[in-house]
Amino acid sequence: MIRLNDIWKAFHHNQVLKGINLEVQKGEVVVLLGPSGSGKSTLLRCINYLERADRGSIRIGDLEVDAAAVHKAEIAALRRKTTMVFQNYNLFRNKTAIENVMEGLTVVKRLPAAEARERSAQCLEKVGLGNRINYFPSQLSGGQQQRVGIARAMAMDPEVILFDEPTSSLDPEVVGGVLEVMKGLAKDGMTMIVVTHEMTFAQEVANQVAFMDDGVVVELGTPRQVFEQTRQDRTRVFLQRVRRDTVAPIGPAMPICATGANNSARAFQADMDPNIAGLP
Amino acid sequence: MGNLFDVSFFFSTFPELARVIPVTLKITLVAMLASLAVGLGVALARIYRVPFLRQLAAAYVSFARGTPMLVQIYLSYYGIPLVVQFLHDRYGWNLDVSRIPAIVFIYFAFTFNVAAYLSETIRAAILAIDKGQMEAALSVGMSSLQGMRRIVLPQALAVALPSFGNTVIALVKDTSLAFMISVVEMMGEAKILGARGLRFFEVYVAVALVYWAICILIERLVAVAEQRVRRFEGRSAVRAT
Repeated sequence: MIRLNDIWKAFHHNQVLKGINLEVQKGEVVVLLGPSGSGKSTLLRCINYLERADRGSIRIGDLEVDAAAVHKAEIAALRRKTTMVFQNYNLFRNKTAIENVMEGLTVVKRLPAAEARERSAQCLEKVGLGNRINYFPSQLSGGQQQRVGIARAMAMDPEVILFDEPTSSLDPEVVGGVLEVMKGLAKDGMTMIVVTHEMTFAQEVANQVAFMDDGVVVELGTPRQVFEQTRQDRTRVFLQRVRRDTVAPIGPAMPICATGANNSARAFQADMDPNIAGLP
Repeated sequence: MGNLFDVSFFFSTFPELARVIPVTLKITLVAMLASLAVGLGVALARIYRVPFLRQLAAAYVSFARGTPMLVQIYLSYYGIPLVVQFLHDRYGWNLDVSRIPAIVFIYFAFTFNVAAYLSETIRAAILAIDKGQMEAALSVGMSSLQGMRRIVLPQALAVALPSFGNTVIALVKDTSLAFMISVVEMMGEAKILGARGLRFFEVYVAVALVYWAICILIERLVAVAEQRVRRFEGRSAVRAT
């Protein structure tokens, strides 16, 4: 079980998270929705301490970390219970697909190389890349890279996998393949927290949907509750906008992909990434 | 004609010069390896903004790059003995300045100089690696040290290698200054040979050719090394998406 308790985070004078509470049961899939800059990605990154929350506590399984008095060892322990799938895949560029998956197993879990290799091969097989294990990231398409990213995350056998807009950088025709892999994981009982704009995925796979705006969770419930019995106006406006964009011929919800204008790290990444920088 | 360019003397200098090539290479190798270590430390102190060390590093780089190599050699040669003498007198350390070979001061001076340049190369190379690489390493549970060593530095090496090659080549040529404090490397040997035969032009042409040959060899080695470390960039240099 995961419990986020009153998480606050500011970048300089910009208050990005304003007291987030969220509880995720084992095996649940939670989708975080919300407009650009609403704090979804920051929240995700606070869970494994890629960003340090200013205040609040994070509980994963039997480990509870209080942001006000956190030790290095606790951060390390927290990171061993979580893994992350990134928008830009972030595969280790100097390692082949299978080495990417093995890295955490040999270095962090200290498995013998042969065992790590076998498990990594299985994971890559599972995401449909059994025939690409010796390719470098530069030799793989975006969709393939992201599936390696998912294999790398699941190989560690974490308590939760955090997905940070896993399909936002992908060409529309390969999004489906990545979502299929994620559905498979959910079916296998993996606990997942997913920031995405894929409404169909949220509707079909999520146990809970949280709509975030301006640093708070505005609405939380089952997909049916949030999408069909929407209570808050802010949620309604957002859903209308997203649905309109999704049916437009330019592709899946493109204008809201460039998230996190408030987050300097992400804004920097956006500058570097031609996929995002090219957006209107 | 025989007086204009003494061909037989010219050729006779090569074996003599070749005899001291190891001295030149030794200075290059020792200074380069030590500089890589010091340069990495300086670069990390600046990247991680370590308090105090960071300001010290910045001042050091500025000084080392802003003063001539020759001056640094003299400072090393005349300054270090003073420090050693002081330690000897003050703390009774059993150090005898006169027993320190001159080449040690050369190692020190060259490391001092080259490490400053390398630290900037290394710093730029590390900063050129996408932040996401380190984040991915952390996200699977690696420590930032592990992420640096296993993921970021190998990629930074690929970025920095052409620059390293330039630095080594510059270093090989700068070793010719070592004779200023009587370390007999190739340039020193050339001067001795020239004085002995009273023919300087021939021997300087010869020594120029030997330096050139060494540098060509290094260029080749760097090119081969570059191909090896860039292996992971695969068929396309641009990231496919």
